[in-house]
Amino acid sequence: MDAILDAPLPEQGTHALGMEKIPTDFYTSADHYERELKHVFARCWLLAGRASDLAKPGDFFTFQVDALSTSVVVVKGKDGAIRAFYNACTHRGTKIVTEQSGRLRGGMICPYHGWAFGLHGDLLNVPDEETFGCLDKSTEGLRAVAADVWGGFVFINLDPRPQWSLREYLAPLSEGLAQYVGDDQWSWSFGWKSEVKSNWKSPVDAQVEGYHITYGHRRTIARNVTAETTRPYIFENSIGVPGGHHLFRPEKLGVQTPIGLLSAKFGATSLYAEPEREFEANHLNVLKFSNHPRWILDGYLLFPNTVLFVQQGQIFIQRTLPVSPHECIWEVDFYHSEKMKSFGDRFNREQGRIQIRDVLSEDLKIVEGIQENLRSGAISSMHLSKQEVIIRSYYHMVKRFVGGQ
Amino acid sequence: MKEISNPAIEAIEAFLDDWAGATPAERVAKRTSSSMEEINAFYDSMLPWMEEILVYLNQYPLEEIPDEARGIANAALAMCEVDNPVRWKETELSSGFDVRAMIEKGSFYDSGFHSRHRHLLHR
Repeated sequence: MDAILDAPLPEQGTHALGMEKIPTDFYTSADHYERELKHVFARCWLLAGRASDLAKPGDFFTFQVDALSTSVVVVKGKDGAIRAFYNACTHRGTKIVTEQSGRLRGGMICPYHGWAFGLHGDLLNVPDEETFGCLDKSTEGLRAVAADVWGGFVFINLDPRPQWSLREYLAPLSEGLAQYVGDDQWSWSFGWKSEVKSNWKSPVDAQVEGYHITYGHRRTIARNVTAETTRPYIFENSIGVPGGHHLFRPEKLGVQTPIGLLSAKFGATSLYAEPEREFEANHLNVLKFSNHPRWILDGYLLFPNTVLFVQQGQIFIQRTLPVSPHECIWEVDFYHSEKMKSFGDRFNREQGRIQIRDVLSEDLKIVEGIQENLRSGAISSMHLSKQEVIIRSYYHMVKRFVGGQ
Repeated sequence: MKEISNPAIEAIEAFLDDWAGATPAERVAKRTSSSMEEINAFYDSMLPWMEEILVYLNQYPLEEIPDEARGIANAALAMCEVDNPVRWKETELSSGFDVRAMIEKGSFYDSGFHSRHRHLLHR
């Protein structure tokens, strides 16, 4: 442990992937957008839910990709396996499950005509079956979608034959990380969603580079997280993980408000105050810098649309889904390892919630402004620094998928 | 343990009707519909009592905070809401997206927007 305390922070990014400019039509072109839908969203593993929400047979959740007009239902079978299906009755295409999550009792019954499917997708019963003539129920089960679990999260893949297993796709992520985020200590606490007038990749960009923190968040994070203390790295040969970063506190924290200091007495969910009490979290030691006194969090970009942040006692996830080249659905979800027991815990969580909300609000305002400017043609290419190397790695990965490079 | 008494002195009680919104959305609405003078008056009155308020509320398990203390608990949470505006000297962050358009999710699966309901978003 002492070795890590003395260890210098890692390099502040790299130019290993080159220094060429990024064309702005990456974010504005309708043609590129259509290719992303077809070659990225219809082929990649997408984070859809949490395995612990599917505790018992019949537990389900739904996952929607509006831009592909696709609704998927993910359900736990009687055999304990998690399966995913298109949420479409094989009779005439009715959405079978209309709730976002819950427990199915007696299988999946189509609300239109009552076709009944088992938890494994098999068509069990058709009311007035004889009126169909020759209906072979054995071939009319729900259409399966690939599903698998990593780190306690359920991913689905709309490719009928996914080119890579989820493990291969996420290969550079360590087993330790999977163990940390996969522990059943985590429970969902809160989240936000919004419609944002930006390309779906721009909110991702904002979460994977620290260069903007010092200036872009000068009114929120102040000097408690800085560009200087954010350390990005890339996974050059990964299929589905362009890179990650470590965030550290600066040696000397900036201004702490009295409310921030009071909150810090009770926990660590705010990124921006040094906690006096730390959250308990199993397996924290598997994270490389978790012993470092200035470590705040590690972030990982899970291609194409998910940024996973892990810290002590808190996980948060940002996801975006495309609506058009210029609009996306943005959402963020928070998980915590500890249950709130006292009002101090509640106060700490509320303070942390509001701090991160305001920081995210700055990112959203910036990405909307960028989209407007890119659409206007005001600039035609972008520059990326070493500190923004994950964006370059991400760009290359998108290009590999859409066949542009 | 000797019960710690409610530190809600008159100076604070005067604010509870307005500032003790029970939900985050109510507290945001109060903050964004208030002037800086109103926000500062609330903040300045509450701040000297905050430590005592937390000690008082912490003597109960979270689920057993007595009804008469709910107002002061919500007002303490509203202090988290006004903390930044006091520092910014503006009721809403001009460098930020409208936080009222960041819709609170009810669960991880509370995703997306029904297109027919889009007009209901506060934009």
